[in-house]
Amino acid sequence: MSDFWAFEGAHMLAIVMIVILAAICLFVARNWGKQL
Amino acid sequence: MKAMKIARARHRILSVRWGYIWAFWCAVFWGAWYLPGTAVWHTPPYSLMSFESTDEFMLAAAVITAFNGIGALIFLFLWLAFLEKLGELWRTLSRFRTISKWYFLAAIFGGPCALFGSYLAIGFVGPIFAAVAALLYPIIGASLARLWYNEKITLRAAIGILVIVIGGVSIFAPGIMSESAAARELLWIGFVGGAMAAFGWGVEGAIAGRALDVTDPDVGITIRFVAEVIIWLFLILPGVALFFDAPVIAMVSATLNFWAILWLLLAGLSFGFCYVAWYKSFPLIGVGRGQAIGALYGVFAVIFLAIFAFQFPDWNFLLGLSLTVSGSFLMISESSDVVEVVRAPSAGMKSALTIVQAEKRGSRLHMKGYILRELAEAADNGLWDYEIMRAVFHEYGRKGDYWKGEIRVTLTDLFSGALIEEIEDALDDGRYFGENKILMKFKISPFGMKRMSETGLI
Repeated sequence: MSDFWAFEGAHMLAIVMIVILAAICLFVARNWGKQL
Repeated sequence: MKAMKIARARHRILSVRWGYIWAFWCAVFWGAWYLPGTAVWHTPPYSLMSFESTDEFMLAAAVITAFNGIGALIFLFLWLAFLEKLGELWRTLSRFRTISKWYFLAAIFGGPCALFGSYLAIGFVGPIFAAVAALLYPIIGASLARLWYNEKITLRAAIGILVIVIGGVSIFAPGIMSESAAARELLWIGFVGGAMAAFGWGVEGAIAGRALDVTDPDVGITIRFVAEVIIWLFLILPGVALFFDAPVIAMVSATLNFWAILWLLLAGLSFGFCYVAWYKSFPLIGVGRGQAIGALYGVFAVIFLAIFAFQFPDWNFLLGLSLTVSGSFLMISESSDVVEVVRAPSAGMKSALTIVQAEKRGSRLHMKGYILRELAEAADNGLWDYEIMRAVFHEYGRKGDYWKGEIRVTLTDLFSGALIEEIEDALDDGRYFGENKILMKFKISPFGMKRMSETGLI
């Protein structure tokens, strides 16, 4: 991987983090209206 | 009576809280965007370029911005599919002359003006300057929202915005000094780019606010990206190839490799979700507050870059962090009574009853437009929220708790934007939206009628 990443596997961790955040956000978007 | 008061307070607090939660999601994704957004520059073909000429850099920035937009659009379609709103997209898009055109205008300010300006600022001055320049956008957005929409900005909110901006500037200040000292004679192009970023994003939020009044935010942001992708793919990139003889096709084909596409898709995902959260917050807490909380992205960007790229902040980060967090708390702790309706009521307009005209319905309206029209037709008699729910369920064949919630969200959004007024309330015994929830009867406001007239809904 390029010199941008801090350590071996950092790029994979970043990918996983963004995908998990996106999944949580989608779940929130689907359910927040029920609270109002 | 006490249960009623509790239900009312709960509803008010929840609607404002969700406005801030969405603005906060925007900040998280915007901060995360810096990871794939920077990684792509370290990936072939961009890592192999010398960028000795400004033309080469500008072309690279244009191609990356275009791919970023395509990635965002792909994930926004996924978002809409998950929320069962693809049909709403076509219904809204078909009202181009009266509604969608505002999103196309917003796309011009947000894409080729702000994002491209930001890349110019990165290239000619430096990334730190670009980030600071963009942090100033809430000032532009809040000022325009006040001017155009009569949006209420309390002294507390104004101080909050100012503190967040000062915090953002202090995060990046030492970096700017060193960047300016090292910069060369083309510095002014970078400064123009920085101004384009702050101006573009500020104006985009304010313009989008107009169309958001009468459309669903999830759908609105997707239309905005459809517009941006059209602008890049069919106007700017072909224009650059044709008139400047630039190797656009060669650069696009070189970009089509696994890692470059992966980073651009992830950048698109972060950017798209950041934007959709940004747009969702505007109707609930106002453009000024939504943009200011969104400006917390500076903090998240620095945190993510420290964790994943070991790019550690200097001492000034702690100062900036405490200032931006304090500014956010200043705004979030503002009484929900003040934020519940984000616009000042407008006087001197004709009453709903005198303007409304019975219009033959043509093609089916988008859902928010339909709700507004039902309320306009009910005039001063108004409609209960559960009556609106039944009408929507019947018209669009919807059912279930998810759609009940979506209709509540839409009504809260219209109420916060002062398009509708509450005329009566009652306590739900569990038959409609849930036990002990507040039921509200709404009527269209004079401002709502004005906005419907401007957007061709009446």
